[in-house]
Formats: sequence, C-alpha cells, structure tokens
Amino acid sequence: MSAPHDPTLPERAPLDGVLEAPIDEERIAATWQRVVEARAGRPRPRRVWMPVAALAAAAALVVGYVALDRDGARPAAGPLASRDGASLAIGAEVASTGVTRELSFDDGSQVTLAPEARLEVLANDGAHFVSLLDRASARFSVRPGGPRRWSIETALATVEVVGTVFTVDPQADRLVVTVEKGLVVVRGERVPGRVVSLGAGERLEVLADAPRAADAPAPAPAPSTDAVATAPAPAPSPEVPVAVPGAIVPPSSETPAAAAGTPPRRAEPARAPAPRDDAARVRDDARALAGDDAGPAGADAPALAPEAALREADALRQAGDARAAAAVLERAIAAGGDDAAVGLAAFTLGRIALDALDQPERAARAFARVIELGTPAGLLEDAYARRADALLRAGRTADARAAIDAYARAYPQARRLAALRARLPADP
Amino acid sequence: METLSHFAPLVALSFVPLMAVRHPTADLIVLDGRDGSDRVTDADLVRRAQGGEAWAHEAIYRRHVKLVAATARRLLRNPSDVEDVVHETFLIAFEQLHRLLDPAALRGWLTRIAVSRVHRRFRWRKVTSLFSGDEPGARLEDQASGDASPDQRAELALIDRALARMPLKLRTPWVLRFVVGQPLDEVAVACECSLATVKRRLAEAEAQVRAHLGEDGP
Repeated sequence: MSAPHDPTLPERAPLDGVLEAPIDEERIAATWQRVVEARAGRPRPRRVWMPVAALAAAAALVVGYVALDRDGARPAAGPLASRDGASLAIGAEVASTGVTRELSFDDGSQVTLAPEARLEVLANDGAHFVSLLDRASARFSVRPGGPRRWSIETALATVEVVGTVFTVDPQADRLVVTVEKGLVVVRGERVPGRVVSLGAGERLEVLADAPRAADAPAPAPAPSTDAVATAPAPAPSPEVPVAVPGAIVPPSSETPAAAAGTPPRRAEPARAPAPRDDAARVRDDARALAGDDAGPAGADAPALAPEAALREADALRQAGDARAAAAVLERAIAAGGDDAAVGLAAFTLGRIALDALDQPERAARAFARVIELGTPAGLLEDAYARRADALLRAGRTADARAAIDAYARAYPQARRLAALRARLPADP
Repeated sequence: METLSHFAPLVALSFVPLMAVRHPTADLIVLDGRDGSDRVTDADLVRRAQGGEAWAHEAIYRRHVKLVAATARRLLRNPSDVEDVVHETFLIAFEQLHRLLDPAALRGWLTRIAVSRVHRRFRWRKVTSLFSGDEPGARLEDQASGDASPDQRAELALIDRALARMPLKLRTPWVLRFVVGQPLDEVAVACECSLATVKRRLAEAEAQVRAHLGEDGP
C-alpha cells in the first residue's frame, strides 16, 4: 500500500498475484503487429459499435473474392500452410528427431530442419510468418516477393527475411547466420549496432557472451580492422569481405552489411513516393536504369526473371564477377516483373555498383528505382540514403541536395541525414 | 575497401544514437530489461517517441502492455475483448502522444485510455443486454492462476459477486487498486478524478466488499 499512514484508506494486498497472466506473449506479439499495421494505414481497430458495418464489409469481401477468383486473380494470402500436413497454427511445434526434416510450404518456400531442430510458430497470417528456432540449425529458402515477411527468432537475435536462402544455426554459445542468396537482416541486443544486413555469401556469428549493443562502445567513426577478423570464409567474393567463425562484424567495419546501413529498428512500412521536386529526378534515374551504363558482360543475353537474376547474380558475385552480376540484374530490372523482386534486384544492383564497381551514377539509378517502386519496404530508407550518397560521390551536388531533401521528407528522423548534409558543399 | 570508407561515417552515425545516447543524469541507457538493468525512464521513451523514433513506440508497448492488458482483463468479463482494448489503447496513445504534457505520467495516462475503452464496452453491453440478457463472461475466480488455493478461489468468488453489484465509479478504482495493484495517484488519473475522490470511492467500495465477505464468508 502506498499510503499506510492514512487511516481512511482500506488496506488489502493486490489480488493480481493469485490471478493468471492477463495476456500471453503470443498475444502480445500479435497485438503489436495489429498496432503497427493500423498505424501504417491498414484496417482501423474493430469498433464495438460497428458490427453491422463489419458484416456488410465481410459480405462485400466475399462477393469481391468470388468475382476475383472467377477472373483468375490471386486471392489475398491467408496463413502460411504446410504441404506435408504439419500444423502451422500459432503455438504449433515442428521438430525433427534424429533425422533431417524437409518442410514445404504453400508459397513455395522450404525449410530444412537439422536433426533435433525445433521450430515453434509464433505468428502466422497473410503478412507475417514468425517462428522460434532452437536446439539445432535450419536452412530456410524463402520465396522472394512472397506475400509474407518471415522472421526467425532465436535466443540471441532475430533474423528477418526479404526473400532469400539462408541458414540459422543457434548453438549453445553463439548464433550463426549464413546467407546463400538474397538479403537478410539480423537484429538483437548482441548484434553489433543491434542490426546487420547480410548479403549472399556473407556470414554472421553472434556470441552469447558478446557485450550487448547497449554496453558496447559507440562504433568508431571510420572503418578499423582491430575487432574484425577478415580471413576468407567459404566461397567469398573479392568484393564481399566475410565474417569468419568467432568474429562479429561490427556495422562500422568494412563489410557490405555495414555499408547497407539498414534502419536501426524494425522495418517501416513503405512511405509515400518522393515529393514532386525530386520525384521527377527519381523517375528519370529509374527510367535510365537500363541505359548506357550497363556492364559489358552478356549485354545481348536474354533477361532473366528477377528471382532467377538474383540467384544468377549471387553466383557471379561469389565467383568474383561483380560486373557480370550487375549486368544480369540490370537486364532483369529493365524487363520488369513482380515489384518486390524487381525492387530487391535494384537494391542489390545499387549495392554492387556503389560498393564493388565504384559506379555511383549507376548506383543512384538503381536506388531511384527502389524508391519509385516503394519496395522492399524494409530497405526503402536505406535506398534513400544510398541514393543521396551515390549522387554525392558522382559529384551531382544539386541532385544530391534534392535527394537529401526528399530523404528528409520521407524520414524526418533519419540519423544519416546530418552526415549526408555535412558532405554537401556550402552554398555560395 | 576504399569505396566503403565514404559510407563509414554515415554507418557509424546511423547506429550510434539508438543505444549510446546518454541519459541526462546517468550513464549509458540500457534498453534490455531482462536483467533488471532497464534504466530508460518513461519520460525518455515518450520524448523519443514524440520525436518520431519508431523503436520507442515499441519499447513503450513492451513495457506497459501487461498493465494495459491487466486493466482490461480484470475490469472486463469478456476475455475476448482484452486484445481489442489493448490494441485500441496503444493506437490512441501513439496517435495522441504529442498531447501528453507530462511524459512521466505515461502509465496513468495509458491506464486512463484503457479504462475509457473498457467503459465504452460496458455502455455498449448495456444496450445489447436489452436484447440478449445479461452479459456473459469470465468471473474473477475463473481467472485464478493454477497456484491459487481453494481458499483464495473462494475469496475471489465472493469478491467477484460484490463487485458485480457495484456501480462502475466504485468498481473501477477498487479493481485498479486492489486487483491490478496500481498506485493511488495513477488510479486517480485513470478514473479522471482527484486523489481525495478516489480515496473516498475506494473506502466506499471496500466497505461494500467487506460487508459482502462478512455476509457470505465462512
């Protein structure tokens, strides 16, 4: 009791101690997702005074669904389902005992559980599939451009997926994430800087006894090699330094993951298109993406679909041919396709052009395409920042200034704004 | 890699502010509360959320979701409404966070929003009960944990019956104070009344509970 001296106040021990928890972790996570989605402009919370409206809306949806289905259009995604009958209801556990277990999903994704691995479903709906992995490793092959964002929780970090093939290996003293294709984002208290993005051929180890990001000193302002092991990992690309076992890659180190500079928190929803003054430049840059700066390798080769191009580019990049990888991606982007996959291809092209080929103009066009598409949402802020960076490096000061202004309007609190503005020459 | 060095200052800057911002009066801010080292105040979180830092919204949610859920669960009889109340409470809170003049009063303010959402539901049920009879839902003893003794369950049942007869203006502060365990000042904020009023209502409600326990107790 907070006022035992007040004789008019009743005394009684709170009853909460003998009552069950008011909400469980699963519902806490699910409700947070609802809040995030509602704040992003998705459906407003259910109102108790709107049951009739809800019924009417449901009826309209049914009618719409039937109409769409009759036309052959794809209906909205529901929860992820397993093709082998394994339950993916929230709270369900999928485990492998003694042998490797393959799981196939209705969206074309696959998971291979190592012996003794256990996957617990934490959330599963049309937009998200969240699972908890423990005891052993699992290899995930997530279809790029699928309807759901995949997250894999482990004791040490969260792995978020844009569309990729990767392995998560939670061990007793560390977590190992290895990316074969595409991009993943790893977040956690013991992940340097709390977040690192990994591209194809990259690997991150998070040690259980590593200092938490909160306790670690601030990253150095310039790259250093003192805390980074740079010995080659399997099949490294010359352009892609890879973290090795026993090392954690700090975000400020010389890795593409660090250079990716992913947003420090959970991916934000897609923002509105760039404002008018910069929008035209974004469009122009994006349209010019397949123009005269394309790499020479395979210039006359047919364009692959974006997903296939990403796979091909990953292989070429790991083989050391970044120029050919960029050309493959460029042709795929020009050919078009699913927006999410094209956006991911454009972002990857931008990274290669900026970090490996030192072609900032080309990189700026690629990032402009990502911004124009507005997807992948989780990389959008990074695309704004990298486009501005590329334009600065290309010496296009006026365009860089406009790009920074557009970045500021889309992400007013972005932490990279000050550093970008500092690189602009002073006004005459 | 030479080309990356251009981006390094940006990267460093982008990762620094989250965890290395210094508290005005203390050392480094630590966000992980699992080891008890949670030293970010509500006021810090509110200011950062008001400044547009998305992670602060989630931190506010994680810190207070159980309080909001407890408020809804203990006041409502229908557990299926709890998630909706939690959802609406944080949605409203984040939309109106700029109106919170005293960031340190976050807990009480969140509870007040939750209570208002619960009361909306009570008003709606009053209307619907005209057609469907009494409200269904879980009694307090139905919420007893597995560790609760038979005596405790019996007491919960008696209290539940006493609360069911109380008007909302007495039941709400009593539940917040003696079931959820809220401090008096936060109960007053949640009930939108003065501290003196809340004390008076608590005394009145407690008298009714004790009378009920005296009548029906062993």
